[in-house]
Amino acid sequence: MIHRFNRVPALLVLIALLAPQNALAQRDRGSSRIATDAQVREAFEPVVREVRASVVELTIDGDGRALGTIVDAEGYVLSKASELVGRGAIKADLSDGRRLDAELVGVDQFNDLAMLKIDADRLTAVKLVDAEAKLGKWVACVGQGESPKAVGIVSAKPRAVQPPQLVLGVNLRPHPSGLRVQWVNPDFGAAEAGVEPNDVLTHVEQKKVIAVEQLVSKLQDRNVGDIVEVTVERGGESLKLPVRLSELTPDPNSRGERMNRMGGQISERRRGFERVLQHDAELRPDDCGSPLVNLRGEVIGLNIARAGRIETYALPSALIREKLAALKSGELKPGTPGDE
Amino acid sequence: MQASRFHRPARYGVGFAVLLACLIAWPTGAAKAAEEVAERPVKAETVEDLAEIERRVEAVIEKAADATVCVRAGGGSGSGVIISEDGYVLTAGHVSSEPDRPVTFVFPDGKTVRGKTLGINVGVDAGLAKITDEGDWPHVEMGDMEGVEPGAWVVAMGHPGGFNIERPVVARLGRINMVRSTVIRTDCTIIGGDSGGPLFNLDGEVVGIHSRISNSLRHNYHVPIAQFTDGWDRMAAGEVWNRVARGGVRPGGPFIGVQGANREALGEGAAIGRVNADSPAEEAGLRRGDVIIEFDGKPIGSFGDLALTVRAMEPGDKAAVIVQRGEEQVELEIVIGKAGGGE
Repeated sequence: MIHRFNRVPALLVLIALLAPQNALAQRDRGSSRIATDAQVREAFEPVVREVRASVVELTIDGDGRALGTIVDAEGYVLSKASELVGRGAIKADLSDGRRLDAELVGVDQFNDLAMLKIDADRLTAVKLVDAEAKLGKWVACVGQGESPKAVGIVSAKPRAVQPPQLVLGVNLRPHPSGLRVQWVNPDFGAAEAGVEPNDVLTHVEQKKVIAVEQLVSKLQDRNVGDIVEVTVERGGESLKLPVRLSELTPDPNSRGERMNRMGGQISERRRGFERVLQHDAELRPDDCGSPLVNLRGEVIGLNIARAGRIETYALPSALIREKLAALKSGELKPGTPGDE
Repeated sequence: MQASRFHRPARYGVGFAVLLACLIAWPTGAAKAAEEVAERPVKAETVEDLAEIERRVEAVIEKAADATVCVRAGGGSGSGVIISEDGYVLTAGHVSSEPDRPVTFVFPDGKTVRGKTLGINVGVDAGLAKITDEGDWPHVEMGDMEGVEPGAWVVAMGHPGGFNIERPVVARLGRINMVRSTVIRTDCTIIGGDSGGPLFNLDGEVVGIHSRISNSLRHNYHVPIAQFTDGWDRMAAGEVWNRVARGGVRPGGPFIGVQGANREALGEGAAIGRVNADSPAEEAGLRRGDVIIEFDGKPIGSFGDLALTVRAMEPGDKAAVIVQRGEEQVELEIVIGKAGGGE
């Protein structure tokens, strides 16, 4: 048989190569020179100077969960919903040093956008600008510090990002009074919520469920990280369990997904947005919610997800502006009937 | 850092035993790259500097977008860049993977054209293909290695994750952080599907072709353009060269005597599948199943990393090796041996 080069198994290769490399090998500059190093970020200091005052740091139990962007001087702050909703009392640290309670007053599930209200006025709100976001334009992710958190360029045309398929993490079989749990995947929300094999799932969000298809359609408009109330029968008892939804695909061990995770943490909730501006700034997931500015210092979007090795997503300012009134109105307050 | 080949994970590691020839053909660029690291080719100290970079980056992307195609050969999807009006396409060797193979090229507007693969320099991962449909194709210029040096700003283009009409081509900015004759390393982040896509200097010339990545965002590897220009005639003629024989050892070269485990190690270290009897590795106490995470003070993300690191040493050198062995970390010392010398 012909030994085709492309079938040679790769990693079975002896290390022992070549004549000694010349001195170049020792001249490796390592990772000290990078596009977004401190020195480059420093150059952005004048660019972000004004917007810094509009950034708040949001913590729950002392953990930094996200940044927030003040969009109304009367105390309205936008941030990333899935990092905040259902996780406990939220504190907001303002750039002037104040620490205030933040209340969730509205959530746009599809865009993972949360509106918070803090009891303060005469704050510095950002101006949301619909600037042209041409590929190659610099962008900076603004924190409270003098230098931006991260900088990069606009990488792609704005586009919609489809939501992933969602799962509870159970294997279900038909049962006379609902769906019987055959198996619980230990890595998903159902296990975490205490669902057990042989439980019979009867309701999701208080609606009767008798077929798997019903369950799937019930979850359709939800997103990764959302919590749904699942009712199960166990030994004659009815239990209500809060199950956090997970993403079915891709398999975290798949090659593509492992590659996507190479090089740093990514946001759990990173798919399902009406419109995103994709850029290549290396933003930490807990710095989502921060304003994205162009080189003129105009706020062109709100960072909403660290989506992978090569990409961070921001919701464009135009999209955010459409949502502001509804998010402030209280109609989209989480846990209220209007939430469905 | 690893070197995971994008859509065809096999064969990595083989690429290192290559191309002394090109060191001879192109010695000045490499030497220069190492000397002139103190100075930033384009400063980024003021907002004016940033504006200047932005202006140039936008121009590069505008020019490059139409010539950056998605390359479908076999079952995989990679990227490529058209560099002549008659449709020659530079890509990665592992994207074309064998010569004279039918290829579909997808343009950013979704239009597809047919073509075929030509030659491959397997060791450095350089591949050539050509559009065979009739037409005058949008194209970019090939650059040379002038200015390809640590600190230089570069723009990566490609079709990460495969072609997506909603997001036809994706641009990333970064800087070069290492140059060798066989590889350029940058912090332009690339991923599966980008393989074969172009790396541009700020003049809009192709200076590299995306090849592989490591676990670090700072470690993205590209085939230097000189590999294409120097090997052009062979590639255009459909030749496949620089294959490394399985288990091939170059006499006289640095050697430790281990084989990689037959699994992919993405940023986890170099997993050892076999330790040769009477080898420097055995002498040092390395065992099968060990994962080397540091070698001679350098972090090791993969077997490919280990190969690079060993290759840079001389027989007789001593190196401290940090090994993950089950739950514990073990530190060993190894003396680099000489290949084929009956060590």
